[in-house]
Amino acid sequence: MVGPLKLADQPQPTYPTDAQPERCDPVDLLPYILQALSPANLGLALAGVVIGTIIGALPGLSATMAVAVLVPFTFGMNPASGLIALGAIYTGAIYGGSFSAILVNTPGTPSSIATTFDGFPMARRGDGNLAVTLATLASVIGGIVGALFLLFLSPPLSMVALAFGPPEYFWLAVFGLTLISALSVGNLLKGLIGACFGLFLATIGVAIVGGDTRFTLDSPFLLGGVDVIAALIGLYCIPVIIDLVATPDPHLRVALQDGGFRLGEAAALCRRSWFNLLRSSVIGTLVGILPGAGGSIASLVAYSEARRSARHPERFGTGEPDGVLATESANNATVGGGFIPTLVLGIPGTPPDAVILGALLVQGIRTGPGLFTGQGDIVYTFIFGLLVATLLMLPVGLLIGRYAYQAIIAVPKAVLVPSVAFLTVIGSFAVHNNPDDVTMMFALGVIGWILNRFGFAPSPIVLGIILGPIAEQGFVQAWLIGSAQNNLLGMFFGRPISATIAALALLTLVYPLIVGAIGKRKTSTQEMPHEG
Amino acid sequence: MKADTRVSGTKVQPTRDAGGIVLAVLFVLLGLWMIWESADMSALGAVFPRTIAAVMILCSLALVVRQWLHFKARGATADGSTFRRVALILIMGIWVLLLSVLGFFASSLLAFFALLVVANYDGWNRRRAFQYGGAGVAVVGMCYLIFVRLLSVPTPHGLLF
Repeated sequence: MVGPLKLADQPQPTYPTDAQPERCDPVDLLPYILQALSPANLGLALAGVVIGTIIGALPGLSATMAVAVLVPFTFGMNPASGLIALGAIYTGAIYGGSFSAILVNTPGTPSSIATTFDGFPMARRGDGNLAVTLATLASVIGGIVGALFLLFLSPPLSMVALAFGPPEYFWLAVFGLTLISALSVGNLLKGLIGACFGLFLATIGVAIVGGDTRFTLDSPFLLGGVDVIAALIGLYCIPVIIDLVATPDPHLRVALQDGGFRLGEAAALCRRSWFNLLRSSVIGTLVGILPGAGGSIASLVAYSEARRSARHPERFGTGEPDGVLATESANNATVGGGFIPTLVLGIPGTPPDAVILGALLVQGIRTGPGLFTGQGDIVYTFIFGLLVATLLMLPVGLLIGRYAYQAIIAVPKAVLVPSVAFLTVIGSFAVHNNPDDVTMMFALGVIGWILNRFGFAPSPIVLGIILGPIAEQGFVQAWLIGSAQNNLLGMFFGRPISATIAALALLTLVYPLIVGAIGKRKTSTQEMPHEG
Repeated sequence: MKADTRVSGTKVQPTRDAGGIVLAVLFVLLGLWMIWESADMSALGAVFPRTIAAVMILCSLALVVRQWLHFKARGATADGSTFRRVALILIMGIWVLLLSVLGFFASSLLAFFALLVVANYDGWNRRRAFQYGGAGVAVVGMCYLIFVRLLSVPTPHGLLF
């Protein structure tokens, strides 16, 4: 009989000195690169990316579902090949979410929420193909950065996951919520009210801490709370189709000259915004490392930072390419980032990582600090396979993206409206195979449409729904620990990481006001001589 | 960034935001209900909803006051066909209700055809009806097969299928 696992048997959170990343010598890694490039692994990576991209593009089918559904197919493969297939599906699904975000204003996965902010306005003005190509390039770059971090810096970076406690998560959620000020310029009160409404929706159901049943109106259906994906589909997609049906205008404007992929233009924009891409990719990797944070928070934080540091922040939300670059590079970087704590500590960074962790256990792979040395052949082959899959996203994504764009502009509106409506229904149903989710999606969609007509935008509501549980859990846990230690202020403001994130949140909040004040001062100084 | 009022087919005019005031009052009521409900919760479970409710009430009251003092705000008036909007909402509402009654495929196909009629601005002839109808069968059928057969999503069968 197997006895209970002793604490000493479990993976230790510190990294042993015999497994340092110096072992990543390029010559030593060559066999793994060749292994990853074997025809079978290349085929699996290609198939994974194609399947993942298509599933991710369908609203309601998340990366987690894509990986979970296809995991059993990998059990018969050798571990490295199985992992490559799953990694390719995962990275493809995260990327695929951008298609529907750009073309129909509905995030295919929660990771691409922020892509709607600028991607859809770009598509509406006739730059849909450019937006899709930008999203593809950014996803590839973000994915490569994340995979390189995974390859070279996994052990030290995994410690970041352990350094994050409840107050850090709370401040990270607050940091994400500061984006409301950027999303609601000229209408901050309505943005704040919308965010509070989203936070209220997030509290419905059984409380994460304490177990209270809240705002369920004694309905068993509301016990599980409001599903994020159903809410996303409803709030973003239903208002679009309600207004789409009202006029004979085409859904998307088409540029007079069809520039194909517009790859050269997109590459030039990427070169110009290389720092934005790099910063967003690093943000994505770091947020991906944090268990439970995921691509949606990574892309929101990266978007917020891109807007804050932009020369023309007022252009964000009106079809600014930098917005698409920031969000898409960040969300794909979370793939590599999420694998860091998964492989090194056995703590999944994102929900799809949790599924992949299960697959690893089935394959007999024991995650932990010694994995990189004990089973390096599997891990390094997988990491290179992930890199290959990420690179394959470029041709695959461009082809699928171009087909999707042409399909959206070629389909008559009379067919497009019911098709999108059907996708909203089947997508929200597929989340939990529950018709109640469809009802919730539709109800929130109509509420969102009414609110939107009176200036209450959907994005702050969605931010509240996504960040609410993280903020609440972090706040209540930090409050409990701080109270027990009789050091509440120290708990929230005295820890270096939480203090840094809090400062960044404050900076993001007041930065537009400071810039605005400076701009006004400059304008008035320039006008002074004329007045005199 | 401009306020996120990305509703196609709406014109934004500088006017008194009566709809905004009504919604703000509703949000105040929602906040009060949240505080009322939180009385039965534990201290841990109540702290967050109460904080949210307080902020919601304060912001909503500030919005009401701002509108009441004749601050011009952006109200939205929708252009385009209200009839088609309402028809779409009704059809989708009935679709959602009939999903479990008629079955997923049957209710979806019927709703697809109804929405085709509502969304079409180009008039009908036999060829178009055949093309659009065929597209409906293809879209619903293909997605149904992918979800039900390939992804094993158990859709409700209802009276039909």
